Amino acid sequence: MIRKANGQNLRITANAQVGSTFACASETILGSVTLPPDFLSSGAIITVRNSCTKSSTSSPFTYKLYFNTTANITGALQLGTFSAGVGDFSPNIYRRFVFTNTTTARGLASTFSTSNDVGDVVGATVATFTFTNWLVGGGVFFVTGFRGSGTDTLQLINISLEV
Amino acid sequence: MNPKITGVGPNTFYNTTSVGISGTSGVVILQKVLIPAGTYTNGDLLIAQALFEKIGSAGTFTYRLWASPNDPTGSGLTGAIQILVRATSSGNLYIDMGGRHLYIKNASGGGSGIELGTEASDPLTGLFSEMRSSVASNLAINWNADVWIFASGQLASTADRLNHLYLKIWEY
Repeated sequence: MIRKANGQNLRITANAQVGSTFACASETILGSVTLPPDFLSSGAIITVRNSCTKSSTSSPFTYKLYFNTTANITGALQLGTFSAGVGDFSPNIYRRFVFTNTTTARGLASTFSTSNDVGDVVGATVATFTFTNWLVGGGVFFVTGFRGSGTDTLQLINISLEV
Repeated sequence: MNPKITGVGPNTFYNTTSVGISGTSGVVILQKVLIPAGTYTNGDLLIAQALFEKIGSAGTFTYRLWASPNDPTGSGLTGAIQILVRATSSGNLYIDMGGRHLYIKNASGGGSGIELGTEASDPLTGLFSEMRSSVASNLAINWNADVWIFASGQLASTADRLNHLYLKIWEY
Protein backbone atom coordinates (compact mmCIF):
# COMPACT_ATOMS: atom_id res chain seq x y z
CA MET A 1 0.00 0.00 0.00
CA ILE A 2 1.04 3.60 -0.35
CA ARG A 3 0.82 5.93 2.58
CA LYS A 4 1.22 9.64 2.47
CA ALA A 5 3.58 10.93 5.14
CA ASN A 6 4.05 14.69 5.22
CA GLY A 7 4.04 14.99 1.47
CA GLN A 8 6.22 11.99 0.83
CA ASN A 9 5.22 8.61 -0.51
CA LEU A 10 6.10 5.79 1.83
CA ARG A 11 5.44 2.29 0.66
CA ILE A 12 4.93 -0.46 3.19
CA THR A 13 3.66 -3.98 2.71
CA ALA A 14 3.26 -6.93 5.04
CA ASN A 15 1.86 -10.39 4.60
CA ALA A 16 -0.91 -12.34 6.31
CA GLN A 17 1.33 -14.43 8.55
CA VAL A 18 1.80 -11.66 11.05
CA GLY A 19 0.52 -12.72 14.46
CA SER A 20 1.14 -16.45 14.11
CA THR A 21 3.13 -18.28 16.81
CA PHE A 22 5.93 -20.70 15.94
CA ALA A 23 7.98 -23.21 17.98
CA CYS A 24 10.88 -23.12 15.51
CA ALA A 25 12.28 -26.53 16.49
CA SER A 26 13.73 -26.40 12.98
CA GLU A 27 14.32 -23.28 10.91
CA THR A 28 10.83 -21.89 10.33
CA ILE A 29 9.53 -19.01 8.23
CA LEU A 30 7.95 -16.44 10.56
CA GLY A 31 6.64 -13.96 8.02
CA SER A 32 7.31 -12.27 4.72
CA VAL A 33 6.84 -9.12 2.71
CA THR A 34 6.48 -9.04 -1.05
CA LEU A 35 8.58 -6.99 -3.43
CA PRO A 36 6.28 -6.54 -6.46
CA PRO A 37 7.81 -7.10 -9.90
CA ASP A 38 9.24 -4.00 -11.53
CA PHE A 39 8.51 -1.97 -8.40
CA LEU A 40 11.98 -0.58 -7.78
CA SER A 41 14.67 0.54 -10.15
CA SER A 42 18.43 0.53 -9.84
CA GLY A 43 19.57 3.05 -7.26
CA ALA A 44 16.74 2.33 -4.84
CA ILE A 45 17.59 2.41 -1.16
CA ILE A 46 15.30 0.16 0.87
CA THR A 47 14.74 -0.67 4.51
CA VAL A 48 13.51 -4.09 5.65
CA ARG A 49 12.46 -4.23 9.27
CA ASN A 50 10.64 -6.72 11.42
CA SER A 51 10.21 -7.66 15.03
CA CYS A 52 9.05 -10.62 17.08
CA THR A 53 8.04 -11.30 20.62
CA LYS A 54 9.45 -14.30 22.51
CA SER A 55 7.23 -16.15 24.98
CA SER A 56 9.70 -16.59 27.86
CA THR A 57 13.37 -16.85 28.83
CA SER A 58 14.20 -20.50 28.21
CA SER A 59 15.40 -20.33 24.61
CA PRO A 60 17.98 -18.60 22.43
CA PHE A 61 16.97 -18.17 18.79
CA THR A 62 18.83 -17.69 15.55
CA TYR A 63 16.99 -15.22 13.44
CA LYS A 64 17.64 -14.74 9.70
CA LEU A 65 16.48 -12.47 6.87
CA TYR A 66 16.27 -13.89 3.33
CA PHE A 67 15.13 -13.02 -0.18
CA ASN A 68 13.76 -15.50 -2.70
CA THR A 69 11.27 -15.60 -5.56
CA THR A 70 8.83 -17.22 -3.13
CA ALA A 71 8.87 -17.67 0.66
CA ASN A 72 11.09 -20.76 0.52
CA ILE A 73 14.38 -21.25 2.37
CA THR A 74 15.71 -23.53 -0.35
CA GLY A 75 17.63 -21.42 -2.81
CA ALA A 76 17.08 -18.24 -0.82
CA LEU A 77 19.68 -15.48 -0.52
CA GLN A 78 20.55 -14.80 3.12
CA LEU A 79 20.62 -11.08 3.83
CA GLY A 80 21.12 -10.92 7.59
CA THR A 81 21.22 -12.80 10.87
CA PHE A 82 20.82 -12.10 14.56
CA SER A 83 21.49 -14.51 17.44
CA ALA A 84 18.94 -13.60 20.09
CA GLY A 85 19.79 -14.57 23.65
CA VAL A 86 17.39 -16.03 26.16
CA GLY A 87 16.67 -12.58 27.58
CA ASP A 88 15.93 -10.96 24.21
CA PHE A 89 12.15 -10.75 24.40
CA SER A 90 11.76 -8.74 21.22
CA PRO A 91 14.29 -9.99 18.66
CA ASN A 92 14.30 -8.00 15.47
CA ILE A 93 16.24 -7.39 12.29
CA TYR A 94 16.65 -3.96 10.68
CA ARG A 95 18.60 -3.78 7.42
CA ARG A 96 19.07 -1.29 4.60
CA PHE A 97 20.25 -2.04 1.08
CA VAL A 98 21.17 0.06 -1.93
CA PHE A 99 20.59 -1.51 -5.35
CA THR A 100 23.56 -0.82 -7.59
CA ASN A 101 21.81 -2.51 -10.54
CA THR A 102 18.83 -4.81 -11.10
CA THR A 103 20.63 -7.88 -9.75
CA THR A 104 23.02 -6.48 -7.14
CA ALA A 105 22.58 -4.74 -3.81
CA ARG A 106 25.05 -3.60 -1.14
CA GLY A 107 24.56 -3.76 2.60
CA LEU A 108 25.84 -5.20 5.87
CA ALA A 109 27.41 -8.66 5.52
CA SER A 110 24.77 -11.35 5.95
CA THR A 111 26.68 -13.47 8.46
CA PHE A 112 27.41 -10.64 10.87
CA SER A 113 25.10 -11.17 13.85
CA THR A 114 23.36 -7.98 14.87
CA SER A 115 19.80 -6.78 15.15
CA ASN A 116 20.39 -3.56 13.19
CA ASP A 117 22.86 -2.12 10.73
CA VAL A 118 22.94 1.41 12.15
CA GLY A 119 26.32 2.91 12.92
CA ASP A 120 29.69 1.30 12.33
CA VAL A 121 30.96 -1.84 13.96
CA VAL A 122 34.44 -3.30 14.15
CA GLY A 123 34.52 -6.61 12.31
CA ALA A 124 31.54 -5.94 10.07
CA THR A 125 31.96 -5.44 6.33
CA VAL A 126 29.86 -4.20 3.42
CA ALA A 127 28.74 -7.13 1.30
CA THR A 128 27.46 -7.50 -2.25
CA PHE A 129 24.18 -9.39 -2.62
CA THR A 130 23.35 -10.86 -6.00
CA PHE A 131 20.01 -12.37 -6.94
CA THR A 132 19.03 -12.86 -10.55
CA ASN A 133 16.71 -10.12 -11.73
CA TRP A 134 15.23 -9.45 -8.31
CA LEU A 135 14.08 -5.92 -9.12
CA VAL A 136 12.49 -6.85 -12.44
CA GLY A 137 11.00 -10.15 -11.30
CA GLY A 138 10.22 -9.22 -7.72
CA GLY A 139 10.11 -11.73 -4.91
CA VAL A 140 9.75 -12.09 -1.18
CA PHE A 141 11.74 -10.89 1.80
CA PHE A 142 11.17 -13.24 4.72
CA VAL A 143 12.49 -13.95 8.20
CA THR A 144 13.09 -17.31 9.86
CA GLY A 145 13.60 -18.44 13.43
CA PHE A 146 15.45 -21.44 14.80
CA ARG A 147 15.27 -22.34 18.49
CA GLY A 148 18.57 -23.40 20.00
CA SER A 149 17.11 -25.07 23.08
CA GLY A 150 14.23 -24.81 25.57
CA THR A 151 10.52 -24.41 24.90
CA ASP A 152 9.96 -20.74 24.00
CA THR A 153 7.91 -19.76 20.97
CA LEU A 154 8.18 -16.79 18.61
CA GLN A 155 5.43 -14.56 17.31
CA LEU A 156 6.07 -12.15 14.45
CA ILE A 157 4.76 -8.69 15.21
CA ASN A 158 5.54 -6.92 11.96
CA ILE A 159 7.58 -7.03 8.81
CA SER A 160 7.81 -4.18 6.36
CA LEU A 161 9.59 -2.94 3.28
CA GLU A 162 10.13 0.80 3.03
CA VAL A 163 11.66 3.03 0.40
CA MET B 1 -0.63 0.50 -10.35
CA ASN B 2 2.49 1.62 -8.62
CA PRO B 3 4.95 3.54 -10.74
CA LYS B 4 8.50 2.27 -10.75
CA ILE B 5 10.27 4.16 -8.03
CA THR B 6 13.85 4.71 -7.10
CA GLY B 7 13.54 4.97 -3.39
CA VAL B 8 12.63 8.60 -3.51
CA GLY B 9 9.66 10.71 -2.53
CA PRO B 10 8.89 14.19 -3.84
CA ASN B 11 11.36 15.83 -1.49
CA THR B 12 14.02 13.13 -1.40
CA PHE B 13 17.45 13.47 -2.95
CA TYR B 14 19.99 10.71 -3.24
CA ASN B 15 23.25 9.71 -4.87
CA THR B 16 24.11 6.04 -5.34
CA THR B 17 27.01 6.45 -7.75
CA SER B 18 29.97 5.13 -5.78
CA VAL B 19 32.87 7.52 -5.18
CA GLY B 20 36.17 6.10 -3.98
CA ILE B 21 39.34 7.10 -2.18
CA SER B 22 42.51 5.30 -3.12
CA GLY B 23 46.20 6.06 -2.77
CA THR B 24 45.88 9.30 -0.83
CA SER B 25 45.67 10.44 2.76
CA GLY B 26 44.32 13.83 1.77
CA VAL B 27 40.75 15.08 2.05
CA VAL B 28 38.58 13.88 -0.84
CA ILE B 29 35.15 15.19 -1.84
CA LEU B 30 32.79 12.23 -1.92
CA GLN B 31 29.13 12.01 -2.97
CA LYS B 32 27.01 15.13 -3.30
CA VAL B 33 23.35 16.01 -3.86
CA LEU B 34 21.86 19.31 -5.00
CA ILE B 35 18.87 20.61 -3.09
CA PRO B 36 17.20 23.15 -5.40
CA ALA B 37 16.38 26.56 -3.98
CA GLY B 38 13.10 26.64 -2.09
CA THR B 39 12.70 22.86 -1.79
CA TYR B 40 12.63 23.01 1.99
CA THR B 41 11.24 25.71 4.21
CA ASN B 42 10.63 26.68 7.80
CA GLY B 43 9.46 23.80 9.98
CA ASP B 44 10.71 21.01 7.71
CA LEU B 45 12.55 18.14 9.35
CA LEU B 46 15.22 16.48 7.22
CA ILE B 47 17.39 13.45 7.72
CA ALA B 48 20.67 12.61 6.04
CA GLN B 49 22.06 9.09 5.72
CA ALA B 50 25.19 7.67 4.14
CA LEU B 51 27.01 4.36 3.83
CA PHE B 52 30.75 3.93 3.43
CA GLU B 53 32.76 0.79 2.69
CA LYS B 54 36.36 0.68 3.88
CA ILE B 55 38.81 -1.84 2.46
CA GLY B 56 41.78 -2.39 4.72
CA SER B 57 42.44 -1.85 8.41
CA ALA B 58 45.71 0.05 8.34
CA GLY B 59 44.37 3.35 9.61
CA THR B 60 41.40 5.39 10.71
CA PHE B 61 38.82 7.08 8.49
CA THR B 62 37.34 10.51 9.09
CA TYR B 63 34.26 11.69 7.26
CA ARG B 64 32.43 14.96 7.32
CA LEU B 65 29.05 16.08 6.05
CA TRP B 66 28.76 19.57 4.63
CA ALA B 67 26.25 22.08 3.27
CA SER B 68 27.39 24.60 0.72
CA PRO B 69 25.92 27.12 -1.73
CA ASN B 70 28.67 26.06 -4.14
CA ASP B 71 29.16 22.87 -6.15
CA PRO B 72 31.99 21.16 -4.24
CA THR B 73 33.37 19.71 -7.45
CA GLY B 74 34.61 23.16 -8.37
CA SER B 75 34.78 24.88 -5.03
CA GLY B 76 35.87 22.17 -2.63
CA LEU B 77 35.19 23.15 0.95
CA THR B 78 35.16 26.88 0.24
CA GLY B 79 32.04 28.38 1.77
CA ALA B 80 30.87 25.05 3.14
CA ILE B 81 29.29 24.62 6.58
CA GLN B 82 30.21 21.47 8.47
CA ILE B 83 27.18 19.44 9.62
CA LEU B 84 29.05 16.63 11.33
CA VAL B 85 32.42 14.97 11.68
CA ARG B 86 33.11 11.42 12.68
CA ALA B 87 36.38 9.50 13.01
CA THR B 88 36.07 5.72 12.91
CA SER B 89 38.47 3.11 14.24
CA SER B 90 40.90 1.43 11.87
CA GLY B 91 39.00 -1.87 12.00
CA ASN B 92 35.63 -0.32 11.11
CA LEU B 93 34.93 -1.50 7.57
CA TYR B 94 31.14 -1.09 7.53
CA ILE B 95 30.54 2.60 8.22
CA ASP B 96 26.96 3.79 8.37
CA MET B 97 26.40 7.46 9.12
CA GLY B 98 23.38 6.47 11.13
CA GLY B 99 21.36 9.53 10.31
CA ARG B 100 21.64 13.20 11.05
CA HIS B 101 18.55 15.36 11.52
CA LEU B 102 18.23 18.93 10.41
CA TYR B 103 15.29 20.96 11.65
CA ILE B 104 14.86 24.13 9.64
CA LYS B 105 14.02 26.95 11.94
CA ASN B 106 14.80 29.70 9.46
CA ALA B 107 15.08 28.77 5.80
CA SER B 108 16.79 32.01 4.84
CA GLY B 109 19.87 31.09 6.83
CA GLY B 110 18.90 31.95 10.35
CA GLY B 111 19.25 28.43 11.69
CA SER B 112 19.00 24.72 10.88
CA GLY B 113 20.28 21.63 12.54
CA ILE B 114 20.52 19.94 15.85
CA GLU B 115 24.12 19.24 16.67
CA LEU B 116 27.51 20.10 15.39
CA GLY B 117 30.58 18.31 16.58
CA THR B 118 32.24 14.96 16.84
CA GLU B 119 29.71 12.21 17.26
CA ALA B 120 29.80 10.25 20.48
CA SER B 121 28.69 6.81 21.53
CA ASP B 122 25.25 6.74 23.07
CA PRO B 123 25.47 5.22 26.57
CA LEU B 124 22.27 3.24 26.09
CA THR B 125 22.51 1.92 22.55
CA GLY B 126 26.28 2.00 22.12
CA LEU B 127 25.72 3.47 18.67
CA PHE B 128 27.63 6.42 17.36
CA SER B 129 24.91 8.79 16.41
CA GLU B 130 23.33 12.15 17.04
CA MET B 131 21.32 10.55 19.84
CA ARG B 132 23.87 11.86 22.25
CA SER B 133 24.06 15.35 23.61
CA SER B 134 27.21 17.09 22.54
CA VAL B 135 27.41 20.56 21.09
CA ALA B 136 24.16 22.18 20.04
CA SER B 137 24.48 24.57 17.17
CA ASN B 138 22.53 26.46 14.57
CA LEU B 139 23.82 26.05 11.06
CA ALA B 140 23.39 29.10 8.83
CA ILE B 141 22.15 27.25 5.76
CA ASN B 142 20.14 29.31 3.28
CA TRP B 143 17.57 26.88 1.88
CA ASN B 144 16.04 29.62 -0.26
CA ALA B 145 19.06 29.28 -2.53
CA ASP B 146 20.56 26.12 -4.02
CA VAL B 147 22.25 23.95 -1.36
CA TRP B 148 24.78 21.22 -2.04
CA ILE B 149 24.91 18.56 0.64
CA PHE B 150 28.06 16.51 0.34
CA ALA B 151 30.50 14.34 2.22
CA SER B 152 34.25 14.48 2.43
CA GLY B 153 36.52 11.71 3.59
CA GLN B 154 40.10 11.23 4.67
CA LEU B 155 41.98 7.98 5.16
CA ALA B 156 44.86 8.02 7.62
CA SER B 157 46.73 5.35 5.65
CA THR B 158 47.27 5.13 1.92
CA ALA B 159 47.21 1.34 2.34
CA ASP B 160 43.42 1.55 2.80
CA ARG B 161 40.70 2.29 0.25
CA LEU B 162 37.21 3.62 0.69
CA ASN B 163 33.94 3.65 -1.27
CA HIS B 164 31.08 6.03 -0.53
CA LEU B 165 28.05 3.96 -1.55
CA TYR B 166 25.11 6.28 -0.99
CA LEU B 167 24.04 9.64 0.33
CA LYS B 168 20.36 10.29 0.89
CA ILE B 169 18.55 13.40 2.12
CA TRP B 170 14.84 13.31 2.74
CA GLU B 171 12.02 15.09 4.48
CA TYR B 172 9.56 13.54 6.85
